[in-house]
Amino acid sequence: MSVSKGVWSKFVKRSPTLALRNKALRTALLSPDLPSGPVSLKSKASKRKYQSIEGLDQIYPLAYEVLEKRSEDIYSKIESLDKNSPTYAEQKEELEIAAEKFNPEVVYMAEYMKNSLDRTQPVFRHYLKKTWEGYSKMLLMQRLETLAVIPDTLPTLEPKVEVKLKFPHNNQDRWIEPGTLLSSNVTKMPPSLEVIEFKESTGDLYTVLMVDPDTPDLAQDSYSTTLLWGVKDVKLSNTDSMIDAKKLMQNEDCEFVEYLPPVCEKNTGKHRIAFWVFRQDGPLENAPKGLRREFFKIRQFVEDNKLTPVGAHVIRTLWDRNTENVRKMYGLPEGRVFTRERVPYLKN
Amino acid sequence: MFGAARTVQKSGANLQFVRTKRIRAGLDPVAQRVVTQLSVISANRKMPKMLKLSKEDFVKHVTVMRAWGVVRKEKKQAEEAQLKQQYESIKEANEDLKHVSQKLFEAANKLEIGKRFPLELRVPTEYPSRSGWFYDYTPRKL
Repeated sequence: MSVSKGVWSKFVKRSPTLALRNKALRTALLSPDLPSGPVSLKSKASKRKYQSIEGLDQIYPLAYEVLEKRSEDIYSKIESLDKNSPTYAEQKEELEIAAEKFNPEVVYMAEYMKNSLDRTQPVFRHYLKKTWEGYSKMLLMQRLETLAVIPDTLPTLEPKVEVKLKFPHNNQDRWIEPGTLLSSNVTKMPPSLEVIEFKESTGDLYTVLMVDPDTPDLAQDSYSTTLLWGVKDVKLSNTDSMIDAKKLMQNEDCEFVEYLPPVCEKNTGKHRIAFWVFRQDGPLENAPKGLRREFFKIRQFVEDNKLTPVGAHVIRTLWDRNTENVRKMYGLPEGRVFTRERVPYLKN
Repeated sequence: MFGAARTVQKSGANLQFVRTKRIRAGLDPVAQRVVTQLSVISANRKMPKMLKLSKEDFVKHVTVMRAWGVVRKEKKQAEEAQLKQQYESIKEANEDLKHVSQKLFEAANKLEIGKRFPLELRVPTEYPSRSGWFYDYTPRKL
């Protein structure tokens, strides 16, 4: 017997992705008690000894009814919105979130099935944003600030999207935490990025820059920024958010500066490698193919192209015993070796 | 009798000659007793056990809590709206009175500094009290 008698079990106007796919789980959430035991528990022993909360089966249908009624009211409010109003889309999204936020099926998916959420639905974007703001966003900002990526590359960042990064160096599918120290073996191939938008997005264009602000500049007795990778005009949406080799192979114009792995010279310390993700106004014009990598002025580039920084990521690398092999792979000359003291005859 | 038998066995050939006191596993009994007593009065024991819920029961629990929150909020809003309405009507009546008769209006809104409710008076509340009436009250004789 289902507890749902109203809008939450009708899928004429609502997306079917708001319902749980797993039938056993769905019946468990839509019935007062657990008709086939606790489905989410794995082992037989824990299933057998599991006891549900006393009295929950009596109060749950009432609670469901109250929330479903509220949701129905909100859906009728959406119907009565003025479609010509300039804030119509915003209001509608807000109400759609409010209408589905307490739906037990949605709550279940948002809590336990974070990797397979339908990001075209405002509720799921809302829940994803909340989780991101709770940890990853703060972590990213902390790493950017402590490593001084802000303001060494760009003045500041107000993150709007979540940027996830991984390298294809082995079979393990693992996202890299901002600030991790990676070996040259890991970074030898171009990474894949996932750009998760929390607003409704259908075919927005993005630019990605990968820069190394720690390249030694002996003439100035300072450091300079090197552009390691430049990708432009990548079309992303809520359903398709990956920037990977497959996508770049399909649109060859996207990669305006080809990938060059960070090959640090010996004794230059740890290099910060910053990834910046920008939202574009339109197609990028001031980014010619084969742009000069050395002495890259990132602030100038951003200003010229009217780019809005929306996300970032940072990793670190340093010279290791594999760096020379990577240099050979990409046909680069042997790297310099820096010493503690600047000796004149070693300058050349 | 038993004591004697044990002593014999202890001093038997299977026991090695030990230069120092043997160190046994764990704490010595005195220290162990202190630890037990401390753990009994520790804060850890006073915490209620965490509920171990399956995922679907957790979601159901959250749903019930949220529904309760929604119901309570609606009730509170209705109460506040009613109070506001009452206040508005009092204000309106006062305005009317002000137009009809300034004298009566001033009399109705006169400040009475120092005037108190008598102690015997039941304080006006929104709900009746739990204990009801204080029957044994006798007014103080002056």
